[in-house]
Amino acid sequence: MVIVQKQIADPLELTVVENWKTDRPDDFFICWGSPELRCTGSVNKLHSGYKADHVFILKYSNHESKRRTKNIKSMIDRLELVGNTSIIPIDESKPMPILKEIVENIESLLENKKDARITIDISTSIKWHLLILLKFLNSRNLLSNIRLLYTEPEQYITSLFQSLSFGIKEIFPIPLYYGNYDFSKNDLLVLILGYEGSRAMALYADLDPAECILLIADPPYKKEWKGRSEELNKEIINIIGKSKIKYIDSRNPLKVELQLRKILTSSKYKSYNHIISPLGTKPQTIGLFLYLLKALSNSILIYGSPLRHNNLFYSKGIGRTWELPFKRRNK
Amino acid sequence: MKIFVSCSNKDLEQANKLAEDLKNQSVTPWIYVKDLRPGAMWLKQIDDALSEADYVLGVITENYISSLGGIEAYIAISDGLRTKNIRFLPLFFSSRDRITSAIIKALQGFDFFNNYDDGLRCLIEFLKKEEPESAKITLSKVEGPESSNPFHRVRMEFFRDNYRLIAKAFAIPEKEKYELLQEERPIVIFGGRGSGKSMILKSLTPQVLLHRLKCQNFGELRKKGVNYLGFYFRIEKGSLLMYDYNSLLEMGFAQTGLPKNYELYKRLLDKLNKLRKLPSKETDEEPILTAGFNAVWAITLNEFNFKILKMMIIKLKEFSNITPNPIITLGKTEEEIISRSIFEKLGIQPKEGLCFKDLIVYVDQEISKISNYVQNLATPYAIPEVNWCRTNIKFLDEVFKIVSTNIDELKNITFYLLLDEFENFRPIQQTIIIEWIKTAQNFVVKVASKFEGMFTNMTLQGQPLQFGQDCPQPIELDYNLFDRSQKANYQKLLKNICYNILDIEGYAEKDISNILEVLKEPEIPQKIIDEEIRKIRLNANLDFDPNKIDSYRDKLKTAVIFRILRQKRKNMGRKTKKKVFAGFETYTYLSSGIVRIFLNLVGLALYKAEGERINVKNGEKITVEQQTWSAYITSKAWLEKIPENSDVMEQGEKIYHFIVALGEILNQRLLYHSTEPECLAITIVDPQNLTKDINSGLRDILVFSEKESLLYKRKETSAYKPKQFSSSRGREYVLNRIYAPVLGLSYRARWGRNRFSCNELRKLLNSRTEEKMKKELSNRLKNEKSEEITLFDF
Repeated sequence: MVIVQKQIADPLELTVVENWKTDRPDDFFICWGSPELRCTGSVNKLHSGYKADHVFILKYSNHESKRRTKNIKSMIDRLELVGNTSIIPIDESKPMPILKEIVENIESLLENKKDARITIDISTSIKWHLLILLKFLNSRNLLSNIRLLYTEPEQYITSLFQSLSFGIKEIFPIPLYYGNYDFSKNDLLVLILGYEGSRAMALYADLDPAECILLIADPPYKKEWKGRSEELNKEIINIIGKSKIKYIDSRNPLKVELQLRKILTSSKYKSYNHIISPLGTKPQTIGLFLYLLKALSNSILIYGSPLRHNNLFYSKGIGRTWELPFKRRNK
Repeated sequence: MKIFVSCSNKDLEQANKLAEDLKNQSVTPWIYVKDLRPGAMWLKQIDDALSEADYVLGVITENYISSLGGIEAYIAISDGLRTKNIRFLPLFFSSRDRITSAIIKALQGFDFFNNYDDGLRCLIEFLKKEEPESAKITLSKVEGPESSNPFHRVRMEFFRDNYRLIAKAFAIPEKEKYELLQEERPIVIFGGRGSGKSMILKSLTPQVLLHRLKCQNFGELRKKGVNYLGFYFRIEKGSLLMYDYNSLLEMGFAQTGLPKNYELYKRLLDKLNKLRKLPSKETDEEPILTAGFNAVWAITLNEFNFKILKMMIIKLKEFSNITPNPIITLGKTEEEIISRSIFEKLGIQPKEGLCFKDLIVYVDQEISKISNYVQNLATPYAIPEVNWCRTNIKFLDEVFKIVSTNIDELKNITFYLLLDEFENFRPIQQTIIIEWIKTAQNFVVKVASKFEGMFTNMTLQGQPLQFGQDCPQPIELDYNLFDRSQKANYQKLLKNICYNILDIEGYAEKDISNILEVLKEPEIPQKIIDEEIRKIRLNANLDFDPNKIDSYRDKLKTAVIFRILRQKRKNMGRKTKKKVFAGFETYTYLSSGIVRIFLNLVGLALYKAEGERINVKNGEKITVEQQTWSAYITSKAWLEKIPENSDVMEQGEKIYHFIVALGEILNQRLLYHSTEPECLAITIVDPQNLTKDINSGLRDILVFSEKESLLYKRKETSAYKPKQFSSSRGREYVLNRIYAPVLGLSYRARWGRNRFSCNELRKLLNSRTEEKMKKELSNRLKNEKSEEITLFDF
């Protein structure tokens, strides 16, 4: 059965975050605490009357950060007025059991409620965790019940020379998103590029694919950022070739889904195993998830975790908050 | 880029923080902090460091200005900087209002006083903008499928599936090695990144063999003595279902019935993620893990059986469909018999009129069932169902027998499973392959792996793979250049590879040793070198016998050249000539026995030459200067790549800094040691201490460095142990020679000893103690009185 929901074609900018529907509170509000100030973006924009039955603040427990502690405190101060708030510690490298437990909790708290409403602020989640969470929600037929919020940074203190991260810690296939690999086919590496050239190169060097395409965001979040991805990924572009660059949207998951489908199901690339690595934006990652719901079976998602983030050149401030268009569909 | 941070001794803390922050931003690893003593003449004091520096950053505070000793001192300093082409950048850590020197205050500098982070950002932007293009980016212009450089194909994947081209480019390594590889016995091949493992495995596939041996079909190959059919598999992380250990734990909990809690889950996952070898005491003690391993083994075996079966069927069909000359003949009848027989082996009663397509559909369904099972193990409230067809360890044996019995050209041949990137299997998955190596009858497994990529030599039942019995000793593809015959073989291989590449591209001269020009005259006149040698020996209170000049030159000539060039830089500035690295012999050594490094060196040299309008294609030579330029860029690029190397896990940056630190210490030896200055090796005098917990970081660094051929463990043979040598050896590591140019070292490993304890090396790895330890070790090596030894090589 398909639940018909209102389709939103473009991301909707929110200056105030209200209840998803006006008749009652949201069932859940889920967000991540982070050293990046924009983790408080949607929380700071909550309408004074916003309510949710349950609030989950996910907090990564691997290392201490004064900024994160401060941000989470300010989130708690606001969210305790919203509903029953829980801080859920989550291990960055071992998220599966906790994410599974979160979804089990959601389901048991919903008690088979039809028309459940789950608002998730994905601004500072780790991309591969987000993909697992969405997969779990999909397995419980809850995709049509989620609303995704995303707050951009006010600016990335990027430089044309400095990456957002250094080195590579580990390259691994994302759990639940691999295994359907066909040994009779060659590999196509699909890199959704961001501002981390070393990470892209490390993935390329590790996977040694027969073919590779580079997906760059266009348009970027801000006009003046045009060309940055190309500059910061010069090395891999030289090796792969400019002809292998394709452009995908930066902010609209629905557009990204369509674009991925157009590129990857073309006759040129259909006969490969698709090894995809999301190094770009979170909305692009959502678009990737939507694409994979209907994708060819031999797609693998690979992730390269960086050794350390470049805190000196990273996101600053709180930018615009968007409600991301997200087709609701059941598995 | 080399940066020198000048500060007052009262501002050392700030200066050290600045240096640390610049290193963390990967601006450059060569940053030196030097404090001024009040009243000291600055330029004289830091003269040594200035000869190498590109920038001097002054930590400007009131303390600094009073240390400089006034305007006159500053004028003298800036004159000196100008003549040496060094940029001075003032960093204002105090408000400009409080800086009494009008000259310095007027300089364009960077404000660190109002906001340190903003100041740091601006400084970094400036330094990066000024820097010439990064070495990695320069090298990337040569590599890659769209480059027109003949040496751009440094990876096998750049050939795509152009088997004709692969065949043309392929050069056989030593005859004995290759014959062993082709034998109908399992074999394990070890090699570092770029050693040619994939190329060697691919050369055993029928598509490449047909082109190499100029045959039309498999029947003709058999007439030429090829009695095997190879299927090439590239193992990626994620090509099998159980790469992450979550499913293993889920199954372990389910099988043992033990209650699941997050803390236990995390603890067990930690153990598994740290697992480097099987068997392991840590995991054997855990019943959940043992149960999980058994379950994973069975599921992986099934999955692997089906995936190999599918691949084999598809390839056989492809071989029979190639026009105009199919590799094998496969009619409908054969296809039906094979499909039927395999279905029967799977316990399925097949219908009539079967073909490979039916088998593929069935196999896909079964793989899907396994995949769903694994997914459901991790999914909330899902019920994993075990509903696929089970196969056992003998399944593939039976399948291959069916195929060879029913296809004429394949009667009595052996099938080869050519498994590349073996290190991408988890240890438990590797036990399946080990079992096939030991027990398979109708197929043979040939495995290629990086060093240390074989995490187990056991089957699941605990039976070890015995090299020499179950299969021959492993073949190593990295060439040991300490061994004369290996070096000769390596050079022959390089020449053959280059010949093939240049032939494909239609170059007039195909002998690479003729294309690489060598020095016609010595870099420094012999008279000057000899005079320096005499001075060195006399200063060290050693005798100087003119009749032994050849022996002295052998030990000291290269070091003298480095020293003289350094002195020239001090006197005339940084833009003077660097040490030359050119010629086939030099490039051989720099490549350290790794083919890809050699191709990078030559490719970049060719890129430079053609950029300067040298027509190499028509027979002109690549000049010494162009080759030297390539050597420095390639050297820097390979150093810069270390932190991006995922195979060293999170040790990348530490290894990078470790190698840079070692380089600085060895450089000091080169510049000051009076008898054995050239040395690329370090000797750990107390290797038994590596097993201690406190040295686990050092141990990891050494293991990963060895695995990735960044360091080599020097194996002892009597052939090159000096006669006079009496003290115990310790454990010796030699730096990969490709780093020699960028680190300012000679590429000759020689026989000198740099003895370090674990404690000392550990301090070198710690950013707080690194500088002090570097100074200590450098001074020790500089002043070391070493015994004179007469037997050396390399």
